Amino acid sequence: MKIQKYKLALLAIIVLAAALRFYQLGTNPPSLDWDETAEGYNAYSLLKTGKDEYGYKLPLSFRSFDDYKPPLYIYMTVPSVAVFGLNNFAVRFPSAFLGVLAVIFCYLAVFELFKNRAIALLSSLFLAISPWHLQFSRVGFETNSTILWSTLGVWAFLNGVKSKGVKIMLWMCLASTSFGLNLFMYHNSRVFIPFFALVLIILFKNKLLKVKKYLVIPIALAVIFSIILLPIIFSIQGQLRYKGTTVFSDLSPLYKAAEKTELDRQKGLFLVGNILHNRRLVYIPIIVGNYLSHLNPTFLLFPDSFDNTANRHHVPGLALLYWWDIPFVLAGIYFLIKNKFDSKSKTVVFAWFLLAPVAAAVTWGVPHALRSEIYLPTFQIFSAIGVYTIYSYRKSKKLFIIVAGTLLVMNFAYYLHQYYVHMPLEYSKDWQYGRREAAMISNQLKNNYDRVIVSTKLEQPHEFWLYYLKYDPGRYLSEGGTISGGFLEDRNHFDKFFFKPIDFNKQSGEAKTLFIGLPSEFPQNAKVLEKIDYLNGEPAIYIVSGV
Amino acid sequence: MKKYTLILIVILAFVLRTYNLGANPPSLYWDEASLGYNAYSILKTAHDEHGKFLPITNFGAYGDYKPPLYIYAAVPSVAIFGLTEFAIRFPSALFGVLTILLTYFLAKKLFEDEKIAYIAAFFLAISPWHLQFSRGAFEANLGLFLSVLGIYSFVKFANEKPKYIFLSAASFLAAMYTFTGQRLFVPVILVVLALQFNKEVAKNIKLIVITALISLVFFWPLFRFVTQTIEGKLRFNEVTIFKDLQPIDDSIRFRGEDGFAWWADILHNRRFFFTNQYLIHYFDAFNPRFLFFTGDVNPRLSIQTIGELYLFDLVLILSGIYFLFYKRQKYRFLVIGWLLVSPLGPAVARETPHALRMVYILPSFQLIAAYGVYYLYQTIKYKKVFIASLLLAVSVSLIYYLHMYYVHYPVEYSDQWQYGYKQAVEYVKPLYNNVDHIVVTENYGRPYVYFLIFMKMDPKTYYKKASVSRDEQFFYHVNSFDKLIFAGIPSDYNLPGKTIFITTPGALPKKAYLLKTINQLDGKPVFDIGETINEN
Repeated sequence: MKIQKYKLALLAIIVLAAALRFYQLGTNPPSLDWDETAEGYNAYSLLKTGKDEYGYKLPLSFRSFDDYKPPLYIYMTVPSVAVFGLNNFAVRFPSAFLGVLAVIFCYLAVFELFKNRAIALLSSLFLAISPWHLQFSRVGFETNSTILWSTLGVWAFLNGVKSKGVKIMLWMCLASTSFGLNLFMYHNSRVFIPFFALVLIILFKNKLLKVKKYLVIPIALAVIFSIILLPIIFSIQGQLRYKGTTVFSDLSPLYKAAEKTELDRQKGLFLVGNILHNRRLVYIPIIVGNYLSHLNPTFLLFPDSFDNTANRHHVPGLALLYWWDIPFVLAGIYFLIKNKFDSKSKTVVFAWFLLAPVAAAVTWGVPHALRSEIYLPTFQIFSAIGVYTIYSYRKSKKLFIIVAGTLLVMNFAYYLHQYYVHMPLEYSKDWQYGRREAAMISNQLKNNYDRVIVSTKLEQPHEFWLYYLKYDPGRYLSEGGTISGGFLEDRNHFDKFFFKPIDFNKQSGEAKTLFIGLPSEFPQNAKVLEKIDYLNGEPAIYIVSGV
Repeated sequence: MKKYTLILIVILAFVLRTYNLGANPPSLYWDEASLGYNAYSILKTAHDEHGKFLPITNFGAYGDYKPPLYIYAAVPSVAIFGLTEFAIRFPSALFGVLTILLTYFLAKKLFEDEKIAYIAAFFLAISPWHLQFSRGAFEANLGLFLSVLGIYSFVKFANEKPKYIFLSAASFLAAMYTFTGQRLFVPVILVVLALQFNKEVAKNIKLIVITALISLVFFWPLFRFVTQTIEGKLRFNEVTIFKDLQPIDDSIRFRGEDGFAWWADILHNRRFFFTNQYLIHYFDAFNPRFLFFTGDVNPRLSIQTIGELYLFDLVLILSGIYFLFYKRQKYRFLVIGWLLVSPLGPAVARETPHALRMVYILPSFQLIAAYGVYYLYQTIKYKKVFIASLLLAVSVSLIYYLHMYYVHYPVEYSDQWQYGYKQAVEYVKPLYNNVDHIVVTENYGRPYVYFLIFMKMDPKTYYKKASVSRDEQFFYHVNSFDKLIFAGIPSDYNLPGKTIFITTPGALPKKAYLLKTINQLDGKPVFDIGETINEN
């Protein structure tokens, strides 16, 4: 039996994707950030007690740091923690695993769209090595799995459309399910998926109307997902999250508009002012601007233009796309419009591309690599079409492959070097390094003290301590569990550990206390037992004896 | 009918550029004031404000060494209209209108279609980017006219009119004598032109060599000033990213993290860090927020509430680029090349994107947008809907822009235009002969020039009598002139006789009594004017 070449190529791509996603997964990025530890410990808690850290039974939305995390990722972490134990690898495993699956379904979906193996292979290759996708496949961020659900959904939907009989129903159920699951992944997909599904349905309405009877069950599935989801969105908790991040929570544009109307009124231009500075319109330019900011070349290509808060979203010196991508993405967009590809497939890809940043556009702090990750794999599809078409136009095909290939390998090698050598050193602070070491040491020392106070300046320290000490969730809940994950919270505690702001002189007088906090929180003469440094040598955390 | 279209566009352009020109922007900014007074000084004495005879390569001005041509262009305007805001700004407005005319001819030449040419000219006529710089004494706007003229005559040259090469060379030279930014633009656009018209260039190589040699003679003085003198290099070194130390520090740190291996010296070479910085600044030019929403961050260079382009341009420009390729338009390399090389020069500076330093990118956006509209119209099925929605988008955008520009902009940003100086000077003008001293705060910078302009001080007396010093950065500093004393802290001065103080609000000497408070247009106080009388 002869194996076709493309199958070998696909296999190679999958192996590459897996290697890039699993190699050193537990140790690089250098430590878990707060969201990851929260996911890990809540999964652990579910596994042991069936409840989250607050004691809620099998929640559909995790309160966590009062940010009400979407649930699916945490539930996926449960089996992973069951198999691998509570460790970094286990927490990140679902994301990496679904990342590899996304590469496979990217191939299948693109092949279904364009019926071209080369374009499909190139797309999945580019996704496999995409800095954007790798960055988020190697951390337990729930958003990342959205790429799998959207590629899987598209693939299933397109297969459903071309099938006959009962098969339609099966495919469409799969599509419904993957789109439906996507709704539970990240707030963005809740905006993206309904619009995107609508585009697909309208596009293929003629065909779908003919096979109505097979669609009853898939539609019912979709309805069920929505019914489960709606109360979450409209609950107070869901609204809180919404209000915390949207542009509408910033009222200053309204005040500015009111000032402008006032001036217009004084100048007798009341009507004009009322129309142009209408309070219903003031957010529109902001939202459109936010939307377009995701296409800012410096956002896509150069991380220096990010503020430091986004250091977890890229490696030093390289952002979301390779520089190599620039000409091919542009050419790909051009050729996709111009050349004779199936017009419905064109619409699907462009709808995907244009709808992707819609949800992120109504939030502040944009452009945001994570909130717009749902873009993937459209950039890779463009790039693939660009490479493929230019290749087929060139006369000297070998030369093109050698030149483009060499440049891509150079870009890729540079990326790997930055990721494995420099990122841990440069960004360990952003990855909240040092909590593990501090937790372990404080656990050894605690017996000599009446209590241990961990500064809340370590950013949700209770979660890190619970996670690294693998504190028994049943016992934790019986001690009261997490009281609040709000940012001003100072009441969380377990065992001898209290998580609150440090007032060194006062608190060390009250009881025999061990302190853990930032170096800046202690007086000069404090008795420092241990100093923990970030990987670049900067001091991170001090462990101080209060006596 | 056709004739009238162009005339109507030019009239529209002229009205938009000259209506209320003296009063909005609300007052003269430093550079405008300096250009104006130097023009006045040339007119009256043939010397600049420092007493230098007809400068060729630069005007010392504040120590920023301004290129000369705008000042000379303002001389006739000041001669006719007097030393007023309108007169100082008029050359910019006028050449702005001429740029629109030129855009029409250029578009007609490039696209061989009258309609596209009308649309391109119209788009430039209503462009917020071009209007902002046409309505202030910006050297860059005159420079823009000259570089467009240079490009246009080069195209003419390539179209069987060889002698136009002289006009092209002269225009480009003049552009470099008008605006510093042009010195980095002209070489790169010449490369683009030479590549676009390589056959024609090869055919006329003799003529080109001769022109180049002649140009070199005229270019030589400027070249020597820019490269051989400290003054010429200073301002460049102040703004360029290539004097930053951060990339060098980063390079050392990254190499250290790699244990200073030999390959790390290559991989993390400082030149790569600088290249990275340069590319960031280059791509900044295409930041959508800058282009379509807020414009330049500097409120003098944009009104802040609208982009450098209109939002509808986004669609038109993207389709324009698409159709340029799709139709294999024969000058697409030139038009898109123009767009792409324009930010190369400004990217060497720290402040990017910079609407002023990059203004010579105009009217490439408008040319592309016009081409886009035309072929969109040809392609789209629902032509009436397309036209209606386009008209709606254009008129709403234009009304919004004009409303913001005329109603809100002057009120909100009068401080950015040094509002208050003129009002202060005019207040003390009638008192000038009856006082012994006038002490003026330097808090808002360079007050002397406003006294020179609004009191029409005689240039000759000024450059002979004024006490001027030069600091270590080569900036000129005017200490005093006649009865005027310019001081950091005016209340330190306790002078015999009658002294008028012009200070920041609340900073009058204790014993002075308040004569008047000058407010900005938004009602915030900017100057207190007071008086002390000391018996001798």
